[in-house]
Amino acid sequence: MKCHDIQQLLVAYLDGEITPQEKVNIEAHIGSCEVCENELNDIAAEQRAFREAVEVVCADMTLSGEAKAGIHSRLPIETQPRAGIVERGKSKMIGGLKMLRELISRQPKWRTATVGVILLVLIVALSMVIPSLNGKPNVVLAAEEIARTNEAFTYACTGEGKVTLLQVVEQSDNEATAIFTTEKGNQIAAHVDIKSEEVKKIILKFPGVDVFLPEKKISNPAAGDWAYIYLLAGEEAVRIDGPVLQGEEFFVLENPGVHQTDNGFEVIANSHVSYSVCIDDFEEEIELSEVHMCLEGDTIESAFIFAAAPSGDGVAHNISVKAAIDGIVVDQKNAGSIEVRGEWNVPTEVTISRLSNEESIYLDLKGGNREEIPFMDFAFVVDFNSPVKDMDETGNNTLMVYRRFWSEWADTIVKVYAADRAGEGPDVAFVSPNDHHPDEVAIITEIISEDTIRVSPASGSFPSGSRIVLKLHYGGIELPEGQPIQEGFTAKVLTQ
Amino acid sequence: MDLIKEWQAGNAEAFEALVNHHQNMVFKVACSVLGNTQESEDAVQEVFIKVHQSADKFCGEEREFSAWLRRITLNHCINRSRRNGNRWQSFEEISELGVKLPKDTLSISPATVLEEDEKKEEARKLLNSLNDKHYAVMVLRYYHDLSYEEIAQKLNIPIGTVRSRLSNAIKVLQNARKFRYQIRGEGKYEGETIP
Repeated sequence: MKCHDIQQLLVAYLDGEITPQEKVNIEAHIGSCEVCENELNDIAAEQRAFREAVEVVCADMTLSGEAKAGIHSRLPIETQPRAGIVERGKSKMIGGLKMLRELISRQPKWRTATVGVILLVLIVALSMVIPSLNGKPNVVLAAEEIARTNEAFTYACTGEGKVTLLQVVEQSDNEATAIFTTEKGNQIAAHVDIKSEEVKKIILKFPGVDVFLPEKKISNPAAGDWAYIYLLAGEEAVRIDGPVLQGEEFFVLENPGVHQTDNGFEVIANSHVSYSVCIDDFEEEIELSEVHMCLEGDTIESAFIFAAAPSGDGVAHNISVKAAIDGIVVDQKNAGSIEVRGEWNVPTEVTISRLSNEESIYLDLKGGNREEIPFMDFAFVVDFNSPVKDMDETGNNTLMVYRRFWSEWADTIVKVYAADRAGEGPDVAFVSPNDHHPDEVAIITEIISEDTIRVSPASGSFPSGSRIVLKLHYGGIELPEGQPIQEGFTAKVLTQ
Repeated sequence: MDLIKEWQAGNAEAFEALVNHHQNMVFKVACSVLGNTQESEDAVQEVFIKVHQSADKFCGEEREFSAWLRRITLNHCINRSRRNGNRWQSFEEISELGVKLPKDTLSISPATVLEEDEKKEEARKLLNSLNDKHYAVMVLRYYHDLSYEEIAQKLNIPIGTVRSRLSNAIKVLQNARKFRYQIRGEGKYEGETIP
């Protein structure tokens, strides 16, 4: 076994979770390989450091006297009424939505005065009890009626003109999201529980940009543990969780506003609460398009939607968001960096569709078009039977895999499978390097350079029509849970 | 009669005594999984309510009660975390300006306090460098000492996935450490620079 294969097993080895044969192989290798021995020691140190870190952080968290009293006051549960929560929540929700309306009405002024689109959205995830509904014929009618008869929802629609049901998306057997469009061109969505006939959440959406969660836009793990997010100028935005405040009394809006500053943005929620967004070397690459505040119990969570400026081109480095009460910072969230690009040379989302024996592979591009992409134009490239001449000394039947913007190969797993009798290729899947398929072709991988590995058959040649399967996992690229990794796996790759 | 038997016989004071004795342990387990003081406090209350309703389900000796309670807490917090969208950890409340000083700070020199704060901040950064999935397997393996099979059962994922996630999580921690060295200028990191 080679160093790469051994290093894949070292964590399990230290945990005593490997087979006897693997144990023999590892110990034989480590006895003669200083690199792997050092790696083993590093991994053991990380395991210890993690445990200590949990102990240190947990030791700093103490059970408050109030919580201790709460335990006793709630026992036995049968005799402790839980009433009051819904009513208090209802009151808060309506209050929040009133302020929301006030804020929306000021939108045009802010749009010209400060940054692009500035909205403050209160998403209230509190249950609302509404009058009973009986005998709804289907989920669409039920979801629509539950939303339309909801007091808070009605309030949220105030001033939006005629509200028309756009669609109902079923979330589960009992839950659905009813999405309405308004005359003002906005969207209002109500997440409803059909069974209990409650509105769980109301969300106001404003058109303009596609908003993504960070994990969908993260790339370049070379940026270490920081999120490094790529956005398309003028078209994309990312929603980033912000700092957290304690105290439901702060969940109010009083003369709210968002202002651009020399190094970011300043958000005023009320006379006590403010958020400051600090960006290193800020050159208006991004705009703060929405700020969300969400009351969960006594905690006010926040989220910030940063949109790529239409003319943006560059990096908003090291974004951090601080929450302050009366000017004193009480929490801080480091969000990472956002790079805005004017245009991509090739689409950012590709699917490995089919390997050819030419110096190219076919890609299913975002949007459904199929295109043949020259092999040097994107981040990982497969070149079957026609190796790059100046990189390969072994002749044909060598597979070169290139990977750019990644600094290490440790988490790249390459497998090759022979074609089945119908020539379609086997239906293969694996979730770990140790999963094997009968049609798997034994290969040897060798790191050629920082961005290139060579894959060769262990003996002879690759069978004609072989299929390659790449498992890429590093940082922001998380493989879909429980899905086989095979041809067709879509990963976001950064192009040149 | 020991506390357990008294509790199972319906003695409310006995249960209160059990709560008082074990609540800190339950809270620590909750914190390790949920990573958030408020959520952990809620979880502690829910666990004791659940335990109170399950008096007839515990049939061991008093010395076994702690381990039983620990298991219940761990399962409850894992489920709670799933329900809340896999928020395995958010140690933000121990942010730079929010670090709680020890109660006996006055008897400790300023240098020691600073060192302690740095240690906590370093620990917080380390934990926050992992995503929810990585943190979940790491804390169950290296803090709660569960086997791969137990982790797979609790998280409802294949053992192979547990294995690969642990391996990847360690890699993330190693890279995060290298990156911190790099930005502090404390050492040379051979990886690519940020474009």
